[in-house]
Amino acid sequence: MSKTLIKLSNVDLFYPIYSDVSKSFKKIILDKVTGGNIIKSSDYFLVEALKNITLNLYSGDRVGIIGSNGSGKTTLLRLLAGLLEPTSGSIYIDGSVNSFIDIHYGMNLEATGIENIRMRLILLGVKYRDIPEKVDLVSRFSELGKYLFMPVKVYSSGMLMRLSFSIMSSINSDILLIDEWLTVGDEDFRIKADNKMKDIINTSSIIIMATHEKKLINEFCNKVIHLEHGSLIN
Amino acid sequence: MLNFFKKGFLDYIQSFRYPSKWIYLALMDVHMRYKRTILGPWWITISIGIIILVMSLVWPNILSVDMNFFLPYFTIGYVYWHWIQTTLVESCSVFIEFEGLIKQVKLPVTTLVLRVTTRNLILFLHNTILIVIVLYFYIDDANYLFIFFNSIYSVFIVFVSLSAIGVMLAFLSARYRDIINIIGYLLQLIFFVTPIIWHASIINKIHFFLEFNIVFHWIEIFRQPLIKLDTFDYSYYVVEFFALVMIILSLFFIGRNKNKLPFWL
Repeated sequence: MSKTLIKLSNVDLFYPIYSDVSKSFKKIILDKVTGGNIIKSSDYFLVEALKNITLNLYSGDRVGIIGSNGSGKTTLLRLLAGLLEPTSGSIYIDGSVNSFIDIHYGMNLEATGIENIRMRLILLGVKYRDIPEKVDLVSRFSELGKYLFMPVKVYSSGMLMRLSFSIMSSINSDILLIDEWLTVGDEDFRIKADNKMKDIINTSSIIIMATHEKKLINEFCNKVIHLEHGSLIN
Repeated sequence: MLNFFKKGFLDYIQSFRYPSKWIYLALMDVHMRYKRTILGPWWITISIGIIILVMSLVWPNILSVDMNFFLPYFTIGYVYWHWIQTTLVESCSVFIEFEGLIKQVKLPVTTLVLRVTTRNLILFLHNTILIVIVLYFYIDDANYLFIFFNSIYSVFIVFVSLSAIGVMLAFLSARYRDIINIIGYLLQLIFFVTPIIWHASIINKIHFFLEFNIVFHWIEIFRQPLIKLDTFDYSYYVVEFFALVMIILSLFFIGRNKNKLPFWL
């Protein structure tokens, strides 16, 4: 119960935001040639997304992250998912991570539903010999039927969410990251998806959920983190 | 500094621990790109074949060389060059192409680059049928075993170099979107100064553009044994040394830039 699975010490994360202009050579050369007289602004804006975060989480923790928009909730989740790395400070994570952040990203729109399932499962690290069985499982759960054999670009946004939810929820992991509770699909599917979500919440040893819904926090979480302007407020 | 290399090294290690993440997806990419075409990847083979045919009608006369020499020489050189060119151009847009994946799934950057270089290797292997056909008609009595292993070795070492360069190009062009245009232009230039249509002996003396042109050495070690010509003595060393340097540089590139990559996209 008390094993440390996640340890963040003094983590800072700065987000550089590049404008379109700063991505080009022209500006750099112009700056060099003119001694920086023509274009004066700095190369990019720096956003302090996370400031001095220290956090220890143990197995059994169900953490809710609250905070206003832009307070760094999603950035913190991305950091924990390994998609971003801290600018300074150290991060240690023991165990596999599954994240429900922007789950519809990275679909190949030309490929069919089935092909997308297969590709995504491989990228998520499912062993090659387990793929056929898992694909079958996911496609049955998604209830997309013959749409699975059509290119994803013809899908409605609801269907796309259903597909990505079905894929992501088929992965078992020690640590589960959730960015807002997903409401997927129509009435029937929503109930099914909610149940599935509760299922994987129960089987994961750590849950971290960013949400604005007090109700969800009360229902699922035993710890609450309050983020404001990238800093922790307890 | 050492940390950079370690990070780059770990990235490669992770890619080789899960080869299906790039090999299988490279196959899927090829399959996907030629969906709803009848000829599939053979389209490129046919278009290259036509270029070779038409060039063979004109260039032997311009250069006053024998058709029996020109056709195998140009076929091998051009097919090989086409592979090098497409790999380098496509590796420029790796991270831009897989932006969605980078923001959603944690993957080693080398996995993405290897996916692109591998899919180009697969397409190249389709095109080698042209080389086989030409050699069947024009070359007889050769040391087939040596040729076979030499070809595999050459392709392998060039593939390694291209992947390492690809990593660097991918980073550079994610940061500076001009790179892809520069590379396209440079490759066109290299095509004309490299002995692909013309033979190195035309220049007579050993020339700057040959000695310092890695593409020339890449093509040499593959092509010359196939048409029973001697390679430059040191071409193999140049190619091997170059591959090593590129790998080391790419380690540094990964270590230095991997953290920043998500912000560049």
